[in-house]
Amino acid sequence: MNTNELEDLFIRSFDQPLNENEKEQLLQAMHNNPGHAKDLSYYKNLRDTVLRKSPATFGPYFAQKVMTRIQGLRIEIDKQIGFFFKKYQLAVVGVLIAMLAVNVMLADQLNLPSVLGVQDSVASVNSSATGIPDSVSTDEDIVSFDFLESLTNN
Amino acid sequence: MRPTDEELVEKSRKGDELAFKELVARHEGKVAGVVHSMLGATPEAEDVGQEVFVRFYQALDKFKGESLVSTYLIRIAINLSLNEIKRRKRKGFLFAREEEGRYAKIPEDSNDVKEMVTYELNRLDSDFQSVVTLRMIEGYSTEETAEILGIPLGTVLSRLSRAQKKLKLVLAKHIV
Repeated sequence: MNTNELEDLFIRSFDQPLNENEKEQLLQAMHNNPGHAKDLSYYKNLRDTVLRKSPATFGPYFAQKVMTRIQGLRIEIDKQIGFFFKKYQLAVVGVLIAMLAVNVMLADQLNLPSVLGVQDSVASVNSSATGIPDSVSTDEDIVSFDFLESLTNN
Repeated sequence: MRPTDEELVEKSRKGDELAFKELVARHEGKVAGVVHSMLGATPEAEDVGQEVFVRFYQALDKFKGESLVSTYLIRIAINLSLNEIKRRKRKGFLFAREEEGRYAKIPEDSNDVKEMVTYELNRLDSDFQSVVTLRMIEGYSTEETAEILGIPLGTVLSRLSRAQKKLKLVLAKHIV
């Protein structure tokens, strides 16, 4: 067994049980060459030095700090969600205002139903009651009817 | 009776903050061991430690209990520590203590063997670092190390062997 193989075997002995044959070989080699044994003792010292001897800790109130961070994260997520929806809400309001503006510009008259693009309820009721199709009862008809009625009353 | 980790996870999923706090307290030591071994007792170590638990909290719904809570946490701790080491390397320093508000490299002739080991450990490739940290420093068994890192037992053994030989070259004068 050469030095390198001996070194490998010695290192492995810390991490995996050796079989009887390997144990015998290792002991024999170290017995025959005490220099090897001294050289290999470095590995044992290294492992003894680095192995943790006392439990580790992050210090006091660590768990509380973690919980505070998690709560902070939740608030941040809620804010982001709020901002996300606010952004879309503003967009929707903007679109509605734009549609309203277009309606105002294109409307024949500046009364509420025409600005909002809503069908006149009087016209609908009249058409359904009389059986006259909607296409016949136009805004003009209704206006002229109202005008005549007001004249009569006066 | 003390609730199991699985019971605490289940309660945490339902929004029980005290249950999650109990999990943190229960596993802080293991996570601190790994993070301190890899990063040293630096200010970032605690930040990384907190981040480990925050990530775990965020992943609670994905955690199926296929591995132990401790195994899962150690995996996160190893990954985040390796990220921090990469960040340090980019910034030009490895493991270092804080001196007068800035970081200084550990001098080659430092007498603090533990500090020297951590410094040299940080200079190893990440594959070696995680194996050495778990097996040699934190004392996990070879099998546990393989399970945590998700690598075969033979790979753990060969990485340990190579890492120790590398450490011998640089630490021989410090460890007699």
